[in-house]
Amino acid sequence: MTDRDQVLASDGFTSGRRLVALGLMALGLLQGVVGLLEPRRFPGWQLFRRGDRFDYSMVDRSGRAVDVRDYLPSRAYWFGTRTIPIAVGLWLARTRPEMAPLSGSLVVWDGGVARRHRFLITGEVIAVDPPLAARP
Amino acid sequence: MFQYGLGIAVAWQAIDDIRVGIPRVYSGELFPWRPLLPHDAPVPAGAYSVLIGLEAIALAAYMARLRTGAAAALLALLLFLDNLVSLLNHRLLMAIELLLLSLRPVPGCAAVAGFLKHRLYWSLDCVRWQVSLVYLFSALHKLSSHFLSGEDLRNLFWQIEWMGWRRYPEWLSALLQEPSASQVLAWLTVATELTLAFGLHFRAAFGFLLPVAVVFHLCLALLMPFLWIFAFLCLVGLIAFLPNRIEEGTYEVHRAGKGGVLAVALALAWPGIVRVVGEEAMELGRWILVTPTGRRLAGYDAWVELLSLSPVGCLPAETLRTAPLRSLGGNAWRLLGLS
Repeated sequence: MTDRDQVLASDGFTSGRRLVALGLMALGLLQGVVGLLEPRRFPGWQLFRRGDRFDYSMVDRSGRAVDVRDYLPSRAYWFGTRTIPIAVGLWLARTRPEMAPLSGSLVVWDGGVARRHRFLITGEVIAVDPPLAARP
Repeated sequence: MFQYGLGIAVAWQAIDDIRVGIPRVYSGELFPWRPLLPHDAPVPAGAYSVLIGLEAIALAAYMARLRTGAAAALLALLLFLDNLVSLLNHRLLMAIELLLLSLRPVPGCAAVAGFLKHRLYWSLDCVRWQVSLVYLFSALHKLSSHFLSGEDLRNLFWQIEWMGWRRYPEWLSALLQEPSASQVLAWLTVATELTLAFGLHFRAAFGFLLPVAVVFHLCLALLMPFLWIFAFLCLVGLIAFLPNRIEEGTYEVHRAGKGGVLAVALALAWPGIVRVVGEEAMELGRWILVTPTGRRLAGYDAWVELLSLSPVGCLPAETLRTAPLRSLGGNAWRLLGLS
C-alpha cells in the first residue's frame, strides 16, 4: 500500500464511512420529501412558512384568566399554530386537574375574515363550537 | 473553520435554550410546544441536566479536537435526543451537520498524499447537500397560496408585534402589513431560497450569491428575533461552499521600509500562516504578498488574498474576487495610488 493509499484509507475515503454518508444524504432527502407530504405529522424544513392571526381568551375553573404565554418557553416559535391556546388548555387540564374545566373563545382571522370559536376543555374532552377547519 | 463555526452555533443554542426556559419544559412546568414525543410521555427527572452536562463535555472535546469524530457523533445524538422533547429546526440542522462531519474528522497528513487537501474533506460535500436540501424544501413548503399571497408573512409580523417581541418602527410596521409589500417579500423569499439551493454549487456564481445570502439571513433575523441562531448557522454553512484557495505553506508580506503597516498587523494576527520579510529592491513604503506557490500580488489583489486567510474575512473576500468588484477595486486602488 502506498503512502497515498494509506492516507485515503485512514481518512475514510475508501472505507464504509462513505457509504454511511451516502445513506445519510439519502435519509436527508427522504426526510425533506416526507416532511413536505405530511407536514402535520413529520418535521420538515417549513421555516416560518406559516403565520396564523388569532386571539383568544381562556379562564380556569375559578374564573381566573389564563395566559398561555405563562406556560410556554419565552420566544417559543408557536404563533404559526392557531390551536395552541386549546392545546395548552388541554395540557393544563391533564397536568393541573385543579384548573379544569377551562373554557374560552378563540378568534381566528382567515383571509381577513374573523371567526369566533368557543371551547370547553374538561380533562380529556375538548368541545369546540363551531369546529375549527383544518388550514390548507 | 466550518467545524468551529458549528461548535459556536451549538454553544449559542444551548445557552439560548436555558435562557428561554427549555429546562422547565423537561421538568413539566412549561408546555412542550413542539415535541416529537407524545405530550404526556414520561421524561426522567434530571434528564435535562444530564443532557446539557454531556453536551458541554462533548462540545469541549469537539472544539479542542479531541477524538473529533466521536465527539461530533455524540453531540449529534444528544441534540437529536433534545429534539424529541422540544423540536427546533436550528437544533435539528446542527445535529445533522455534526453527524455528517463526524464521518470525516480532521484530516491526518494530506501533504503525504500529494494531492489537494480539500479533496479529502468529502464530508463537506454532505454538508453542502444538506444545506441545499434545507433551502429547497423550505422554498417548496412555501409554494402555497397562503404564503405567496403574503398573508402568512403579514400574520407573522403582526404576531411578533402583538407578543411584544419586536417593536418595528411605525413606517416599517405599516409597510409589512401592506398586502402588495408582503406579497413581494413572500415571492422574494421563495425565489432567494430556490436560487441559493442550486446556485451556491456553481463556483462562478458563489461570489455573487454570498452577499445575497448574507443580506437575506440578516434581514430575516432583524425582522424575526428568534432567527439569529438560524441565520448564524446558515452563514456558517456557506463556509462549506467556499472554494479552497488557500495554498499549502507560508505566505509572505514583503515590505520596503515601513510600508504596509496595516497588512503587517493583519499578518501578525495569523502567525504561522503569514510572515513579514523586508525587501530593499522595492519602492519605499510599498508592500506585496507572495503566496507559497510564488504568486506576487500587490494592491487590491494582495488585500483580498490576505483577507481570505482569516476566518472572518474568507466569505467577504470571495465576493471581492468577483469580476466586477475586482476590476472596480483594482482600478480604484491604482487611481488612488494606494499600496
